[in-house]
Amino acid sequence: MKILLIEDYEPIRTSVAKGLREAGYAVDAADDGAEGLWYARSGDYDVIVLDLMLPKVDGLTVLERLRKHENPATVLILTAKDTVDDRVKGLDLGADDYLVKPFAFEELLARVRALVRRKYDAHAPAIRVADLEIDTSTRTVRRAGRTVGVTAREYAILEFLAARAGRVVTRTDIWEHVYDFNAEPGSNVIDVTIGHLRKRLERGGRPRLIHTRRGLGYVLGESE
Amino acid sequence: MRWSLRARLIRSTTLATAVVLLAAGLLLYLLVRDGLVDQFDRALADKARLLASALEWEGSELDLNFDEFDLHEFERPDRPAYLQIWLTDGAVAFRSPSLAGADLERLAGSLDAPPCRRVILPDGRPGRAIGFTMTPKTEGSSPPPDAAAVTMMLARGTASVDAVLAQLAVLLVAVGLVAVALSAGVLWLAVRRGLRPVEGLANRIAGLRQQDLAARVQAPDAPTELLPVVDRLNDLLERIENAFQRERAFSADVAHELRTPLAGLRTTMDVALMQPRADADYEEALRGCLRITLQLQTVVEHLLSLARLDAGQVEVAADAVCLADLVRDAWQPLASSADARRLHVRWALGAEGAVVTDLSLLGLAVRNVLENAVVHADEGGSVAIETVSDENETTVRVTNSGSRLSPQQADHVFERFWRGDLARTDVGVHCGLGLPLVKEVVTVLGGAVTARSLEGGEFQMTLTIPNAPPRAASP
Repeated sequence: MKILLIEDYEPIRTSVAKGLREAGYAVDAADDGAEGLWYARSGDYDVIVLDLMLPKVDGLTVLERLRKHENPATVLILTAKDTVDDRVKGLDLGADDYLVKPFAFEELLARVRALVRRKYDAHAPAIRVADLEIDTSTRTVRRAGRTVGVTAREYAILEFLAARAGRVVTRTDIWEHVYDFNAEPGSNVIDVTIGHLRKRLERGGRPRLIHTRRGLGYVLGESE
Repeated sequence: MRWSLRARLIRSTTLATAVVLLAAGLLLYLLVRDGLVDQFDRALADKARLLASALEWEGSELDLNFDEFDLHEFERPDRPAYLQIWLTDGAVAFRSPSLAGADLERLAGSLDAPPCRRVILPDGRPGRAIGFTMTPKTEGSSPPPDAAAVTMMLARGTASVDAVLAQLAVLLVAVGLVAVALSAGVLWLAVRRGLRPVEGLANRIAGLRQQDLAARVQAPDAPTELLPVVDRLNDLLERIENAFQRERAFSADVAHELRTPLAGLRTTMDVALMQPRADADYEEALRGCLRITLQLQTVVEHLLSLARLDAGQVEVAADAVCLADLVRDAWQPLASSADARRLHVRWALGAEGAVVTDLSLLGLAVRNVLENAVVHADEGGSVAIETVSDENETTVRVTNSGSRLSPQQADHVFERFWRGDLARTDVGVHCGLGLPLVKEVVTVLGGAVTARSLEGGEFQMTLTIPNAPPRAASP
């Protein structure tokens, strides 16, 4: 899952980006409204974490423009403005959630997870595909009742595929949703990670769940 | 004792009505009384003249000739009149039967204008008496005696006149009382009617909600006397609303200014503690926290200084300050960051004389002005620092290049939390409180500070303070 963080206060931007990356998200960070808009238009983000008091273009304007261009990302406003008016204005302009600074980082993570679920119309934190079970709140993967250990990157790809179970997901999709701008572009990074994932998921002789569609991409689901 | 407007109006007007009525009644009473008494006196005088005309000297004998007159009034036992005639030598020539041997008090006057006066009659009733001295005509050719003059006194009871006057008095008092009562009633109604707009206004003012400062008193039916009150009240409400809005905006800014670094601290620590890390990572997090804490400290200290200045709690010392030294000292901590930004610094310190002012306050102001120039100058740009003094005041002028402020924007730099952009990137470092603080400090020192945007992107701050405190420092 890919997150865009638009925040002008450097300590918060650095820490939140670091924390989100450690939680397995691909994060791009912008430090003003104009840069944030540029990122939002050029990338495909699942969640945009948006500060309101931003230089160049303020947060509410950024939000307004995103919604005008029907940007599909869910937006979490993260701001020190805490009056009811501010919240109402933000939510009415199309924000999906609102978190007032200072905040507990755990809460930010929980809200981001909830927004990701909302984006993929999944209301329960668990995603089930055949005998595969992904708990997005604890970021754990189980297959046939047994826990499968995965790295953050592997988890991110698996969750992305699971959110689109049964549908073909291209490498570009994965690249855009799971890797941030800073990631080294490599032709087979995704293939290698998928290979690792398959090995872990098929341990104990379980049938294959991630199928390759030659020339297209991958599909998560029971064998056809 | 608090009087209502209505009670006060009714009380004073009723009192005035009563006084006017009393005076009018009294005047009327006196006029009527004088008229009646005059009439009474004239009748008395007529009778006296009539009686006097009958007197005749027959030689030395005074002939009364009263037979042809009705003397009944002098003879009746009930409420009689009295008549007495004296000769010149004081002998009584005639005494009416009613006198029964008593004497009337003698009055002397001429027959043409006989004097009348109020007397107590011998039987104790109030009455009026007339008296005059005259010479009766002479019968035949015999000459009158040498002392031919006689004095005649006539007195009558005034019961009839007094009764009329008493009735008049009662009538006047009754009419007066009724008139006063009626006018008080009418006034009560009129005042109540007249004061209705005042009550309406009071109700509208009472109906203003405490929270809704935007509300104004609407009084389209207010009489002209009340319009100034309504206008002033609305003016006051507007000023209060503006002050409140400023206060609210300031509070919101303060909240933002404190919350943002706090959020930075919390998030930095939260994220650092999420998982075990290498020592270097913890050290980095700690350094970050320290940096934020210092920013927070700046904000809090600026806010405290401003609050103290606002509350007038700052004591102004009178130190002898060499301004050039003070500027050099203030520059010391900024020199390294000026070097780091490759700023070209031009010095022109011309004020070597001493200024009597508060060393630490002026130092705070100068430091903030210099810091503002260093922070806002473009990288590799210039900062010019200049001091001049004349006999009255000393000026510090700091100019930096690389300003993006328009001349209009330059006016805003002294507003609290104002920034050229909504940028909060630099929370704490220059939190938008430095220059407002400068302004407050310089005002306390009796000086002035201005900011100007010059041609070519130069920004100039001019700080002027008097060479001696504006007032003699209190002991």
